Amino acid sequence: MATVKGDRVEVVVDVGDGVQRFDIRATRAGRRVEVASSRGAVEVTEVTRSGRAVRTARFMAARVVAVVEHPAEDAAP
Amino acid sequence: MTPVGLGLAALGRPAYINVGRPAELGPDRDVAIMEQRSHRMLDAAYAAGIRYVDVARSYGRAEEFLASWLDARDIGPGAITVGSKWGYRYTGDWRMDGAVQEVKDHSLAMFHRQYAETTALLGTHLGLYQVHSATPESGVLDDRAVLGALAGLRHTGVAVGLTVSGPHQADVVRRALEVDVDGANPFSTVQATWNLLEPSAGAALAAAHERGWGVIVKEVLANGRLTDAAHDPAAGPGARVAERRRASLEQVAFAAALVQPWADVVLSGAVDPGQLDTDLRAVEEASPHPSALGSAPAEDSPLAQEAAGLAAMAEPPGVYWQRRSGLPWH
Repeated sequence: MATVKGDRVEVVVDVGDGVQRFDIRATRAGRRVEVASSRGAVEVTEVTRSGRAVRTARFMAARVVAVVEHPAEDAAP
Repeated sequence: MTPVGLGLAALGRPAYINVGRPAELGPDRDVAIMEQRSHRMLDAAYAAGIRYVDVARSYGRAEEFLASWLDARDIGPGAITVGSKWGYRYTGDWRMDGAVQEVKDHSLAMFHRQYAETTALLGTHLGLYQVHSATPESGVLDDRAVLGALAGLRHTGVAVGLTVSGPHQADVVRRALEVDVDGANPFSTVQATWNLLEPSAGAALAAAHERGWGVIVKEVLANGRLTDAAHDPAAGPGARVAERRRASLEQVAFAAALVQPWADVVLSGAVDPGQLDTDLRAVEEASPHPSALGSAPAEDSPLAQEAAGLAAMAEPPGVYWQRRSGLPWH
């Protein structure tokens, strides 16, 4: 999976009896959210302007149905 | 890993079953206050050198509180070991009077749902994911689909364990040791209740330790029964040892767990830094090198030797667990 970036990333996970959506947002101005895959997992990382990771959510790649990137321009004014 | 870990079972939700809880926490248990308490405890534990934190999906907002603390203190993955659990759903709705505070479900769907919920919060901080309270009745150790999923989780780099409760803990531990998924056992840790009133899992935990599993000990104070404040008649021998040693019953009980040669981590369920300090002084009593938190406990330390001799305090497992199940959520 290619790395994608945005202010908000929505991850849709197959939880067996349906799907569950997880919304990971940049918590401060200037930060962004990146998505990458590693060791059978999809990792969604909030990073600072300088590229430092501050938190990472992790999902089993085999259970991830969709990853939806929401760039900054999606935000309401 | 340090010999003492911090458990957030009593801080992630307003109601829990520990004896003495109303006096310890008072009536004000809104979310913000319990989060502040959790952060204060995590700060105290971290400053004391504790590097293992125990949470679960069913501990109310414990995972959320831990995640916000990790974020606020800028603590990166690997700095502490986080163990969480799946298999119970919190149903207390942040109410003290909820008739049912948690519901057990060891299905594959529950695993996938709760693993995603846990890792959405804790992500790469999660080092250990455990089946919460495996029992003979839950059937989880015979569910090939669940065991296969756990084996898959292990391949992603997350250690897989189980926790046990109830009068048949030892049987479940021994059964877990025999699990085989494609030639390997997905489990590498077990968390069990062991205390002076309920030591029946000791031999099985020793077998697990011998096999190379990590053994985590919970409920060493028997949900508050082994505290000075509880005045539980069953704790009398321990209280007398404590008086002789000029220690607290809590310290005697904690030291008794620490000196078990198979115990890798003993969980403190402290809800304020003073309680944690008491527990940590038990480490010093049990250690050949006082104040060296990372040192191995000494089986021949005077307090520990007396505590270990208190085998007569043990209750029949059925009696102990029946009494525990009758403790009120408050």
